Amino acid sequence: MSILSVNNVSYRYKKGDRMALNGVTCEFEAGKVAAVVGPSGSGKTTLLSILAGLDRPSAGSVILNGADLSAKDLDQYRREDVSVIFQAFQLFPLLTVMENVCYPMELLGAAQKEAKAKAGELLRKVGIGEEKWKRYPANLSGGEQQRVAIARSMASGAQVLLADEPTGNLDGENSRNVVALLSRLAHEENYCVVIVTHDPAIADASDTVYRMADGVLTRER
Amino acid sequence: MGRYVLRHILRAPGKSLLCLVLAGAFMVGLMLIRVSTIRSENELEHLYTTTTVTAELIKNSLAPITRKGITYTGYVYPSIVDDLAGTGFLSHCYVEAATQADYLIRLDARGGVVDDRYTVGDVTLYGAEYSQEFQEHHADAGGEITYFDGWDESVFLQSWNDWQSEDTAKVYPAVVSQKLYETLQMEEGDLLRAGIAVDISGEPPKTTRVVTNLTVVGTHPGSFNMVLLPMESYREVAGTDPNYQRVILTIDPAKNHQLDEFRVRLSDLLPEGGVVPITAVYWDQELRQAIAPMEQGITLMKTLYPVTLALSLIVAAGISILLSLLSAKEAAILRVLGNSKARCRAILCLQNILPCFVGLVAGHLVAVVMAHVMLPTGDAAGLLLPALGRTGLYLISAVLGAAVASVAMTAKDPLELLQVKE
Repeated sequence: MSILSVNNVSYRYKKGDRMALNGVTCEFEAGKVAAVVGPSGSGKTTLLSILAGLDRPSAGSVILNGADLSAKDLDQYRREDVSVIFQAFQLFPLLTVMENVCYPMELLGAAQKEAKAKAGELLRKVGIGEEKWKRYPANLSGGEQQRVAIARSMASGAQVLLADEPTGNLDGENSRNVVALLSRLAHEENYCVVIVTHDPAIADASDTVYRMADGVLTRER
Repeated sequence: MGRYVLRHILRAPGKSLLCLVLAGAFMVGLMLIRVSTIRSENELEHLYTTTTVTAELIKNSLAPITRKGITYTGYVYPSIVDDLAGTGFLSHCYVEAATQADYLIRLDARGGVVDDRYTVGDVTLYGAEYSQEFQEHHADAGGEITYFDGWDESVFLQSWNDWQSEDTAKVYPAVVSQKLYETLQMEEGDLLRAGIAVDISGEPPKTTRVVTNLTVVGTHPGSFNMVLLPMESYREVAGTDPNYQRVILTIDPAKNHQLDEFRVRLSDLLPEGGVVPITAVYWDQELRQAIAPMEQGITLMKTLYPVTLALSLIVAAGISILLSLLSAKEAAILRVLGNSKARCRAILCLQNILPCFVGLVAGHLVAVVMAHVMLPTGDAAGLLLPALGRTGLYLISAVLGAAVASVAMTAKDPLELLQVKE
């Protein structure tokens, strides 16, 4: 069942005439992993930016659970409905693992005790042991940092997880673990996972594959 | 937001300390400049009001002044001294006159000549108002004057022009050298008669000699032929040579600031001030040598103050901008996680401004205490409001810097900042 749908979305840069997205239409379902592949400059990041609520399309609409995002406060949308996982993890370097995972919940007004309990649960789920909760991100391996980032993305309760090259900074084993984790979250916990990637292995492991070329998105599988 | 900001402030001690220390150091430094300036100004004012400047009126030429065969020692008209005394610039004026007596002869208490052998020639009669000052200016005047019973230093300040001895003959008090007193074998109460050539008149010229009786009121240990008279008496005795041979003007220290004005006034009077052309020599080296470096220092500090203030404001804004720009990635993460632009800006600003504010408060307190310790209460109180103003300006500058940078940071696309460039 589609949770997030993009209807005939176009995006024109504020400076210049070039269209970054040209009539993009696609649907992302809960419980499935969708991959968006394509060369650099094809418009993948622009699509991600619109899906993440960091920008609004020049034309077309993005619908989340039947509600048009154009009528929604995008800050609230990012706090509650969607999370982004980055290639370079992008954890707060001055917050501990636990504090990083708690932050989205604190932003939503959760009590500290409650946030900590849920963060602990999420960290265990992504395979980060309690002994590492008080560490700073710099003291973790890349794979661990990415798993903490995944835990943080789940902390707000968002059902849509957007991942931008999530394995780009990881070695083979850690890459496989992260992909497996994202798949498990989609398939077992009904998350809608959208991965923007160059990695064919991720595309192969995804349920749906879209290809982006010159701002035009086509469904491959 | 408060917890997040506080964590970032405490966990980035280098950054926070930089903001804090810079703010505090500038507040203390600026206060130090102001305090030093005021201290120097007070010290300068003290120097101005306590340093004595004197000016001496002297002849332009060393040649003796002679007229019709008689050498005159006085050359400064008393009128110029009277004019100067009326200007209000002077706190004291020492004048001295001198004339030559052809002879001195001892008389007994009734005015009769005791013996012609008790006669000396070529004696100088000096007129002065202050005997102590007279002795300071004459190396040959010896030590202290020994006054006879019933007499003291005040004899020089009294008017003796209407004073008469018991037998009604006009006599004037005089202090003679101990040696002369002994040579003439004088006793207390004895008189002296002085013969002075005071004028030349007629053709061929003829010297007129006046005879003056003096009562000896004390002796000095100085030069044998030096006889000292009160100035009032001298004027009577000297007749046609009443001009001063030495005039030393002491400028009122309260008027030292107007020394240049006094110089102008005096130079206007000088052309008509003497029998021969005269000039004024100022003894103001002490004042000039002490004041010049202090005035330079004050000027330097007065220049340094606005420069430092401007620099502090630039640094406040610059550091805020720089540190906010370093937080660009953090701002992007905050945005991605759902913080509004306004909230992101507030977080970025507070992270830099709070340590700065703490530094300002601490620096302000130290500066105020320093001012109270180093300056008199009145001066210190006058610095409080400007200090508060400086603190406010620094804070405004830091806030503006942080605000500009945070607006710039939040205007960027967060994904651009967070994506790994391919």
